[in-house]
Amino acid sequence: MLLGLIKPTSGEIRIFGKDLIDDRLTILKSIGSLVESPSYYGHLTAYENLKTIQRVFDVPKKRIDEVLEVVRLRHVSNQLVKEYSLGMKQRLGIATALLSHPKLLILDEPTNGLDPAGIQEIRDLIKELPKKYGMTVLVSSHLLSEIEQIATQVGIILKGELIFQDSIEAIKKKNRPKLKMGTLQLEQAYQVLYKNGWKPIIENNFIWLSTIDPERIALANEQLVKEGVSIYKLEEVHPSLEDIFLELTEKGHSL
Amino acid sequence: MIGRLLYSDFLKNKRTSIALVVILMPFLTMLLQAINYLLRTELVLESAARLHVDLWTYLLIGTHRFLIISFPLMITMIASIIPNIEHQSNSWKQMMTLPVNKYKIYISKFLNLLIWSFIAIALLCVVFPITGIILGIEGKIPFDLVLKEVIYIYFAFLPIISFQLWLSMSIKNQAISISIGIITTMSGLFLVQRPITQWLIWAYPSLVMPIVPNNQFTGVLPNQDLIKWFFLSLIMTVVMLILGMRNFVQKEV
Repeated sequence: MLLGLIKPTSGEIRIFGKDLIDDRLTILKSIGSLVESPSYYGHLTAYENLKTIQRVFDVPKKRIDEVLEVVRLRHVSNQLVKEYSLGMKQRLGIATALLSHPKLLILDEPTNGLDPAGIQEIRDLIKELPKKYGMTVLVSSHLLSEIEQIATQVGIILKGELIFQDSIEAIKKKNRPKLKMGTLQLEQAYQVLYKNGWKPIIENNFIWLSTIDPERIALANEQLVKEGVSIYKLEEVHPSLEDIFLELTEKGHSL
Repeated sequence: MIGRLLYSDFLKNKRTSIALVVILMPFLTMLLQAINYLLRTELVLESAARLHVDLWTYLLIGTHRFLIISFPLMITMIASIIPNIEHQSNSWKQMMTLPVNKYKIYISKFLNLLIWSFIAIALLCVVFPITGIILGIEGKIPFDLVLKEVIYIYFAFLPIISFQLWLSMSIKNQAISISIGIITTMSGLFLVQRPITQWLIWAYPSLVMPIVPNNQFTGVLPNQDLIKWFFLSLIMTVVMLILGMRNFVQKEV
């Protein structure tokens, strides 16, 4: 919808301070995008693929070599794209998106269907783009671990509504890490901790405490051992973006 | 802007079978003419004598009769290949994100098809005389007549070019547009038989021969109705171009 592919049923979109409906073409000039699976012409080489777009944007020819260099495809630029691996095709898609020196790069599921090495490659590439070229990259993905590693700002959309938007640090601060304790004497341990003024929670056969302060942990452990409860596991658990997401969306459900 | 789009469209035509089809069309047409001439030499000579025309002119009349089949079939194929480059690579979405008006994308495809069709028919200006010479036809080559034939028939085929492109652009399954192309090409032969169905676009190509036999088939006369068919042809081309364009611009990909 940001690219004007779908018309909104209501509301308006403003990008770079311009209205999308009135200034669609001007806005599109500064946006690079990779929608769904990369589209490429298999019967053309990577260079020719880029040339078809370069001509339309009317950027200098040497820009093609530049973007091929960025996505590290230059050495295979004269090979037919149908012989490329999925990761290479995806990188070609990103190269296409970069061709016009965009200020905003929109990538939809950029690591979809890639093998771990390919995912790593694309991830590194995405991370380096804002740093090197000062562009804003908007990534949509359902792989939250991916987002966690790439993004600086996160938004969560549930049923078409943006239910959360903040920086990734803020989101992590809000959801503090917890201490996970493993013991065979769950009930007993719970009683002991409760008596000593903790607020333990039993979940998934573990005891959870909300502190991660080393001294406090040691204290809790000592108290338990004194009472004859043996602990086999003590672990700090940082909630992943996935947990936070689930928590947020569940809240959304209950509302 | 259109120029740049067109350049990129021609680049996409690379390594497709378009060029092959375009070259094959005039050669196959003339090959069939040659076979007809060689297999039925006596009949051909007789018919030419009855019409009081020289063999070159008779060869041109025969060529016209083949062209009204071979040319639309070629158009159907190219009109299908050009949009199919985008259909197959799912690149319509990508194209729509370019800072280009959607209707320009359509116009560029139309010009792409128009130019290839022109190349094919223009080749006939070369292939026709060569065939005649190889067949040993004597006398002066009627270049003015050949040129008229080529230009007239090209104009008469414009609505079909417009129509086939519309079909192939809007329907992803190219089997449909190709089937329709073949069926309508064949039906053109029948549509031309009745005055009322002559108004349909598939009849025009048959009606624009530069010379037509007289009623008794004892001689040929210059074609008197040309202007009417060209005018109709132009209107139908533009109408279908606009309809196809609207259809394309409004569609959400």
